[in-house]
Amino acid sequence: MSKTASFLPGMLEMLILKAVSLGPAHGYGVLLRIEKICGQAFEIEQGSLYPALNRLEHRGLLSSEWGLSDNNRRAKYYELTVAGEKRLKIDSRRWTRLSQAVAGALKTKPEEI
Amino acid sequence: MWARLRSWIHSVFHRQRFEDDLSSEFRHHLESRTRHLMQEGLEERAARLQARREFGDPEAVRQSCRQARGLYWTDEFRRHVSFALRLLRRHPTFAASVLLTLGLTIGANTAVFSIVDGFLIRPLPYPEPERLSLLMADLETPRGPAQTWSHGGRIWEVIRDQAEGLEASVFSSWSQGGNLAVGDWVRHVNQGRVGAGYFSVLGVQMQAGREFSPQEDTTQGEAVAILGLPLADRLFGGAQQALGQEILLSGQTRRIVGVLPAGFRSPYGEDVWTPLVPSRRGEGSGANYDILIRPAEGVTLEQARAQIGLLQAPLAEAADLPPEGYSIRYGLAPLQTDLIREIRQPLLILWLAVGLVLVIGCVNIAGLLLARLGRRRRELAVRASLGGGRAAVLRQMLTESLVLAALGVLLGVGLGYLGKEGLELLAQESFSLWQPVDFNLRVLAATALTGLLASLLFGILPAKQALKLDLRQALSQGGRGMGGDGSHRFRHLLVVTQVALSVILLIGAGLLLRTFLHLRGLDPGIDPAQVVAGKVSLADARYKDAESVRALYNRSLTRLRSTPGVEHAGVALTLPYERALNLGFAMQQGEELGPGQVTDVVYVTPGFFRALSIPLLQGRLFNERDDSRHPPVVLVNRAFVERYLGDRPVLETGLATMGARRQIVGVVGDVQHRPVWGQVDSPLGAVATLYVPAGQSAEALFNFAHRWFSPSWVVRSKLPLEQAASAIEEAVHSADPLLPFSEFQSMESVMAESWARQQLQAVLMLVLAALALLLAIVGLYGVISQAALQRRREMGIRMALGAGRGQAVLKVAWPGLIMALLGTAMGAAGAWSGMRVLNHLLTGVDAHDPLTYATVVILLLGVAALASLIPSLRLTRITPSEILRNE
Repeated sequence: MSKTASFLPGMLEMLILKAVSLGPAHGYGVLLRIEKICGQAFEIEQGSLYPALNRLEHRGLLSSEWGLSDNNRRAKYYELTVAGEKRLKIDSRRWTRLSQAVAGALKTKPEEI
Repeated sequence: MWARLRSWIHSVFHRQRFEDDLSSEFRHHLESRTRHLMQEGLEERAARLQARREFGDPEAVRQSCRQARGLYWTDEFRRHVSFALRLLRRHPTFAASVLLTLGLTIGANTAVFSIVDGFLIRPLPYPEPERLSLLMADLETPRGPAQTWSHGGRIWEVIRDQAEGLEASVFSSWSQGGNLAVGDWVRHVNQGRVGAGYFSVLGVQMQAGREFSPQEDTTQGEAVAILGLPLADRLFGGAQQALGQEILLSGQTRRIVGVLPAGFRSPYGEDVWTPLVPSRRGEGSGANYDILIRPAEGVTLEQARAQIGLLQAPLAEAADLPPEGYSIRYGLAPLQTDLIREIRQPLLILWLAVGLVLVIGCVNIAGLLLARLGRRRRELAVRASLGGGRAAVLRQMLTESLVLAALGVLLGVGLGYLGKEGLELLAQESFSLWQPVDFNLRVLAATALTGLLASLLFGILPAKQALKLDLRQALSQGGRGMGGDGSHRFRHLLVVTQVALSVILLIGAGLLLRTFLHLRGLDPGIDPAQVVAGKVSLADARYKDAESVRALYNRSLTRLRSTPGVEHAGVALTLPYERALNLGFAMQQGEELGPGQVTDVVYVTPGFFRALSIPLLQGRLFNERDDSRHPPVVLVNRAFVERYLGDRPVLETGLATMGARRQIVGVVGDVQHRPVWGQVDSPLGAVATLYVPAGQSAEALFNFAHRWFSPSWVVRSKLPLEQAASAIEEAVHSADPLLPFSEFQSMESVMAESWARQQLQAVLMLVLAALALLLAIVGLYGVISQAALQRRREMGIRMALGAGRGQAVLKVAWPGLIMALLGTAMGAAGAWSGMRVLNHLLTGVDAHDPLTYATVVILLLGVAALASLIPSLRLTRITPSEILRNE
């Protein structure tokens, strides 16, 4: 088994929203940011980023615009929409609750039952 | 939801840009990654490879992105459509037969729907048309219930004086001919007669001037007129210019006070309007007025109805019904209902019929698709097993149906337009088509919907059949396997349905045809050949007194009789095959008069009977001495004798009509009249008729009758019809140059006009029924010839084993005969129970007429037998050895 974890459904989208919420970013930039904020905990198949971005834009959570990247190339920059912000807030609250519950559950000792 | 739809639409319509954007986004990613890896120390080649590896398969990513945007379905749809189109190109015969069927049936539906839309659906061309109503009455009489939309003057006074919250006006829906003269320009015009306030109730603003004031709508009022814009333009060069000008209308000078706007349309086709001057006397004593009602502002239609409800007692009193057995109830009927009264039922039946033809056509196409499904099993099985599964096959099949339907709709719109033009041309002779019939969005939408329904109708069944496909069997059997038993049974069921539906249509068409033939075959009682008639309106101020009318007749007829080639000439108030004037009379019983009755009365000059060759059965015809100086006389027809005289000696009997006691001097043969309600229950009939000499007609009769009827000059001659017509025109103009003829017609065309409507209905239904029959027979033929093809081998073996050819042929043809028998039986039974809907349109034939049913059944079975035998006969050409060798 590799030491990196794989994603649960919906997690990649949530992380993308979080990454973009820190400021507009192009596709590769989003990838770097996720790697940075997750501390290499996950291995992302880089190609799968793009269908996820498309899905989010399709759902109106992201908007995109063409711009110049730092190496002076044309790049597509993604930005959070109002609906995206709302979705991120809801998702992170839900995630926190879920992970606390799961963590608590896993810490349960036999005598606590 | 919206975001997704917007994004989807955007990606579909900017497809190329979407793909390009993905490419450059991927490129940017790979470049950035490569650079990144190089900074981490990898050399360029290795970095590029590593970046690619980390990215994954770009084509797969791209596909996922498309899916993310909802483009997957559209892509598949596009593929299916292009495949369906390729398939059609590869099978041109199949494509042609399906598209022709669809085009014709959808086209027929479109054409009929455009007429339905123009009449039954489209609102009247006036503001708030749904609030416009006519006063109507439900009448109970000893002869049964009836409805009437026409009322007497007293009824109008009740509405005018007692109804609250209603805007009401009175008019005559019987527009009359008028003689319009401006300078030496003389023309026959249609004259409408309307009360004060009529146009404001209708909701129409004048182009110039105003409508009639209440003062002008009285006997003391100034003589005024309103013109339609076309006439104002033609006569005075514009609406404003026409105001205040004078015209000579039917011998009376009138000042123009108003001009209607361009585009004003009315069902009565008037050119000029004059005040109605309603009263209780004269025409107002009978039911001759229509009353137009619109609830006043702020009053609902319901409140208006309630208001009429409150007035039942005074209205019933004003209706002045006979005391015994009659009762009446007044209400409001939408104006539109009244205007489409005559056209509604024939139109709905026509609509039903084209709908049935469409269903039959769809059934046929379903049959063709099923047959093709048999041939395509292998292809579809391969498709299903290679991916996508059965669902993809189903989608493919439905897409193919949609493509067929879309092409059919395109074709149908084109053919439907032509059909609509044709229908309009045919129908305008027998129905007043006063609303434009056009191809609006509603019609196009209905056509598209028809196509969609059709595609479901013929696409669902084959698709369901395709789902049952046994993959392993289909793949292993190779191309030979056809649809299994189930699909056979199914196609047989379809054919039976088709036959049944077309039998229903054929029987309906047969009954309408018999109605038309019955009317045409009625004994005319006249010899119409070489007879021409021309009409002149005498509702003219210069012909108010009887002497001037008689002088006109004498002068013009004398001149006509001296014209070379003219054999007989006469004038009559109305012609045979037309509606006649109804008047009261009473038989003389001793010195007393019997009870009053009503019958057709026609005044004629002596030459009338010979001009039309109406035979004298008893007594004598009129002659020149039957004038006001001689004792009043009357002629009766045979129907009158049968109905009112029985065995009494005719020539010694007297009767009273039009204020004089008259002696019956002769009996003439019956002619056909168009009866009014209650006389004869038929569009034409030999109605009991009184003939009165024009020389003894009362002034009152002339005035009364000429308001509604334009008398006809009738001539029998050796001349060509046009020459005879101009001889009449010259003769009348020599007597009065200001009398224009409204029309000349040969007597034969007068007759043809009287059954034009029944003829049109019969022709349309026959065309549709023939189309249905053709489709059903093609379906039957297809099933049998496919069976013949499939069973070649089996039959070859049977023959090799000693079966005769005849046996083999019968074996294949037999199911066809069974299907035809079943379908015919079902159709005949369906028609038997459902033909009631035609009752109102049938005359001289019963809805259960055995001859029609038998003829249709025999025709269908005969044709079906041929359609089953012909393809089976192919089996006689095969030799067993040939078949078996091919194995």
